[in-house]
Amino acid sequence: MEPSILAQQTVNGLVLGTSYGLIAIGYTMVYGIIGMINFAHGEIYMVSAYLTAIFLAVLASFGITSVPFTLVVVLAATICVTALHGWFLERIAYRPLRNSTRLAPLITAIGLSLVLQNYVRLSQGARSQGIPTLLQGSFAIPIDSHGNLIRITHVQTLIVIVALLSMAVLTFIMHRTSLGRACRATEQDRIMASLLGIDTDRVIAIVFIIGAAMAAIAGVLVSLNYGSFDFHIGFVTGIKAFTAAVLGGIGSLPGAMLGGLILGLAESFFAGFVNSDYKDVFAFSLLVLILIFRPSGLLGQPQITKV
Amino acid sequence: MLLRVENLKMRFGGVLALNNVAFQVQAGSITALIGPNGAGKTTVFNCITGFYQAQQGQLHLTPPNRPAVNLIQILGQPFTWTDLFQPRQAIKKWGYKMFGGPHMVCRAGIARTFQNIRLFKEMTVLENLLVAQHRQLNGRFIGGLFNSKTFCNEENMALNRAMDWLDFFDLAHEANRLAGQLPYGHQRRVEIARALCTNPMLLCLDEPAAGLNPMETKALSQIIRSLQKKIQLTILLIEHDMGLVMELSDHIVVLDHGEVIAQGTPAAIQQNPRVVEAYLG
Repeated sequence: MEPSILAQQTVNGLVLGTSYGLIAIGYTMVYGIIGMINFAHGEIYMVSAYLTAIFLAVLASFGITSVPFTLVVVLAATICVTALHGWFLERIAYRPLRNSTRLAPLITAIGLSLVLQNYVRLSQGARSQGIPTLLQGSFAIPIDSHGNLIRITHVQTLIVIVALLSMAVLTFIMHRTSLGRACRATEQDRIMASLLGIDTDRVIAIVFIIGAAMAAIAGVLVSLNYGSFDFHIGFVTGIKAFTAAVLGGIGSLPGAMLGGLILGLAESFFAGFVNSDYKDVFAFSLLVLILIFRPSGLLGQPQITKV
Repeated sequence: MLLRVENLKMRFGGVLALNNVAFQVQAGSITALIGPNGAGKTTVFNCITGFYQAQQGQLHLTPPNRPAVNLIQILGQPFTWTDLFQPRQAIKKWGYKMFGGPHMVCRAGIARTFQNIRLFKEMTVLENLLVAQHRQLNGRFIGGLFNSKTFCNEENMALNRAMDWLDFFDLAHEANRLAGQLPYGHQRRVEIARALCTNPMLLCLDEPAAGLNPMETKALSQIIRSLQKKIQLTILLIEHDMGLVMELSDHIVVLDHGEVIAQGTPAAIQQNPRVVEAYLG
């Protein structure tokens, strides 16, 4: 095992992992608050990739070339519009089903995921789209005396920094603000929370908005990194982020981040040392193994049924 | 008069749980709701606090220094064909359907506790009390993010209010423990303290003495009395401990099979033949 490849794959895995972690937050928060897997969340990520391209094109048409300015504006605009998508889905598809059977919103989620895919396909075309590389260049860090080095591109650095920053902000919100307290209270006992004057519908809507915003951050950053996407990317990425959420313990916020990192690292090591064609198979085998041996995940608590 | 209940009707499938229940709660009084098991006491509570939506009847809350509220209306009534001719009414209904719900009842000034305690078990005692003040805090998201001055002030005020209530209930030393880990009697007191943090006009206590030993029950009755004196709180309680009910209440409403069979002062209720019959079968 080549140490330089190992180091390089670690870097790649961490970058991949933080993006999985960001998307997994959406799954885990929604599951925590209404006990439902939002399978349309992967599509929200896909929508945000398209929005990135659209906003980049808009800015370019105004002749704006400053990279930092473009980055900030695209990030902010994409977050806003994607969050609007998240809010809209909750409002039209999940809220009317709030008090129905557990299966109904799950099936709706799968339907919504198809609707979103085809909405993008019809409006943006079925062909794979690309965006120009905005940030060029990389750091090269020598790791031994033979001249082997690992390369960390600026985009990769940006991904890790922005992802960690947004996770820190989210943790702060959940633990230090009145909104976070309301979220946690709604998560534990929705009816009691509403009897204490918390508008639980609003809290749930905010959770969807936060989840979509996190997916949007991942969408912008990953699109900048890979440069190409199509209307199909939401499915596989979504399922992988879901795996990450389950791995970390669904419902747990730090679990989602940890699960994302572990899954990203595992996948990139497998691709680097075993076979890159089978990396998806490996990721999903991991999901099966977790569900068999530790269904509550790494940081999740085993559910004790209340009587 | 603080709360007026009129012709309340509630049906679960074939069971008529409440049939034309009507009574009034005077401001500043302690009113007890008693009756044999299955009489519909908790159902009345659930209708008043917005846990259930009453199928028929009126619930009017008329607080002395706040606007009067129709509790049935703010929960969101179903549309009827007459709404076609009253578009104004229909728009109002739609508004309550969109934004109404049990949280509006709490904001109107009614707080409750449960027979089986419903604390947020994974949160600390203090956090439980802070959650109840969510409405008053009106925590602005951006302000919280940057720890603005108004946010800190509001947060400190909420903390002080929570600590005041914990002091009142003699629980200040438990503030940072997880609510689920407290002994049963303490959990009951935390639940009352949390209800009080919503700043209610009317406090509904569902069997507050259930599972308490005689000493704790005595302490509880003193607490309820002092709440009535200290903040002129109106209290509506369900209780099976007749000693406590007779000692505390100013007015008693007796329910049996979903109907009010008697109401009056404790002395009058003790003499009432229908009540005696209902209890002894």
